[in-house]
Amino acid sequence: MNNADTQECKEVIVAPLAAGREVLGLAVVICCIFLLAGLRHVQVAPKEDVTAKISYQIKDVRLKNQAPVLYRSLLGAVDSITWTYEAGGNWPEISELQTESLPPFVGDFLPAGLRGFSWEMHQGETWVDYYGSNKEVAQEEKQGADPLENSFILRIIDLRAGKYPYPYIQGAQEDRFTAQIWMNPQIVDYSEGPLVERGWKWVVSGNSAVNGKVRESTGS
Amino acid sequence: MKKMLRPQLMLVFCLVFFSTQAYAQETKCRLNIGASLHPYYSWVKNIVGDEANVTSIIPPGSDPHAYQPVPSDMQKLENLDAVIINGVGHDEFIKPMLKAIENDKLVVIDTSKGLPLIPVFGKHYAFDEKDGKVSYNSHTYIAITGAIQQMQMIARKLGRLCPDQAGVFVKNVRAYSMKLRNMLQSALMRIDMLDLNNLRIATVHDGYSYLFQELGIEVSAVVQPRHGVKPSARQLQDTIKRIKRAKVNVLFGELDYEKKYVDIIYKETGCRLYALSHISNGEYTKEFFEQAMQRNIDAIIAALTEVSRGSNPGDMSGQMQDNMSRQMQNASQQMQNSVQENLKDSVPTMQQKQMNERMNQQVQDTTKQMQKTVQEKLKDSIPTMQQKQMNERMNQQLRDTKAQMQGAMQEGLKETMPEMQQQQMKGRMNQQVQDMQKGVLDNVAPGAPQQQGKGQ
Repeated sequence: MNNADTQECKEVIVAPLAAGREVLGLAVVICCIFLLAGLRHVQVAPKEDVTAKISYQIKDVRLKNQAPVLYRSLLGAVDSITWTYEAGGNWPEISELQTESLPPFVGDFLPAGLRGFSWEMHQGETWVDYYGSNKEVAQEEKQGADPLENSFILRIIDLRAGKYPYPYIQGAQEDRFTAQIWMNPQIVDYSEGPLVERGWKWVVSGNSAVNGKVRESTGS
Repeated sequence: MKKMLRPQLMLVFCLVFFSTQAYAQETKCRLNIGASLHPYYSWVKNIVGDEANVTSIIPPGSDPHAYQPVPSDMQKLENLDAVIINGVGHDEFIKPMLKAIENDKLVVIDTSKGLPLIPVFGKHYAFDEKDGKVSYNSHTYIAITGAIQQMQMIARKLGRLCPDQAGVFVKNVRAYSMKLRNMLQSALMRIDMLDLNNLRIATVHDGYSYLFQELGIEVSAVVQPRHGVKPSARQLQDTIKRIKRAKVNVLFGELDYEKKYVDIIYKETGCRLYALSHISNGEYTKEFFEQAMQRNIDAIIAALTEVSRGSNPGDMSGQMQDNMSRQMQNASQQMQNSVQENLKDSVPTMQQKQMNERMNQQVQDTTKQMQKTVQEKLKDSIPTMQQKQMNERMNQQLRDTKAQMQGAMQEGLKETMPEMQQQQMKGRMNQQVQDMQKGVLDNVAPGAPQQQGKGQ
């Protein structure tokens, strides 16, 4: 009796099925999910900002301290300068801009930290450069103050004139003029020739109409 | 023969001249321009003068963040030649409208194009260096330098649409820019005179970064992360920590910001509270922008002045007090001048007494009414501790003003005047009392309309 019971209740150990197939299936599903997520990311990711990738450019949001104020002020002066140019045929001198009370050429319209800038005008064939440097702040920096962006150039190019300085924007042709703001963290004197080679950075706005295609070749 | 011809020639000349003029008038370009926000309306009005029609897309008093377009708005857009928009998120209501509209000739002028923008305040919203994503502050219009740049761009684009008026637009924008620059220069000069070594500011709403930047003032903290987004308990706690850590001593808010948050922050930090206008609510007028900006600048300078003086942080809102005092004195002075002017002629002696009594009664009633209204307003906007001090000072000021007014009237009434002039005078005085009352209320809510929507 006991033997019969033992035979009936014999313990049978069933080995589990090999999980290889399930694991493979799961791995495939996970891979698919990642693949779809990657595709979606590529689909919705913002387009690369070509202009900001170029080595000699800097985004305006990276400007420090009061430099954004000066940058903004220079951009605000562009139209007044071009209107004067269109009316008179000549690029206005600094004294003319000061008479017109145009910031940043008149320091009274800027916060105290930016009033040390002195400005010069340099005229090219089809463009004009308004160069400003803040030598007062540079002196303070030597004594341990925070470093600032100390030299700026406002370059305005007449696109109808035909021969442009390097680099310039291609694709902003609906306007007669295009403006560029260049910044140098050091105090550097103005000199002729491409700004790129002398350590100047072209300040571009992430939201700017200036974000056309930068022409890498040709120029003066 | 020659003598006979001369008048005929003159007549022909006149006819040709006037018909040419009429033709020129007929063919003159006249744009229909729409503005999505208040400042754009003011700017365009100043740019075009009377040479174009300017309309607002949404009615006055509507909150642009929560606005839901109605069919009549679409009809407005259909008839426009150009529309001025913010482009970075302040007038989102207009995007679906522009998509839906069937007006191919409509030129959309996006004021943010080419404008240097400031990232939204705070680590959660600022740009990420790796992927270059930036969330920008949309309050590009609460600034002077930025406003000038945007107006120049608008003028240029409108000039292209209407070349024969381009010269007028340029001339107007240059004149208006000069006016605004002078406002900025005046503000900077006043700020220069202050000792701001201890200044640390925070704003309830991240709407004033552009303005503070051009005034050379750094914002240390922002309470409300975005439009209509109420801070969570954790965010509020973080803000309080940041305010304390940054030693913030001035908090710029808006009167429609929920009192409980202001109270908590005030209680925890002891910051002074000042109110700024968001410039996107109220009547659409040509002067709206400059007036609102001037009020904002005045409020900022009042705050900075108080910090510079180093007065007690628990003191009441200096800006409100100063503004109220100034406007009440102005109103009182105007009233006195008016009374004295009208009293140059004479009235019968009996009427003098009656009039004097009535005027005294009127002044008393107005004073009571003003106190009541101001107190009601204050309940919703100022921390409780500040309210008591403010009420006391206001009572004293009202007593002084009342005494001044009564004194001036009695002085003036020594002489007499005709009955007709009495009526005129009474009308003017009523008007001035109303103006005075309105001035005080405006001061309590500088730049903010009475029924401003929340979450701006």
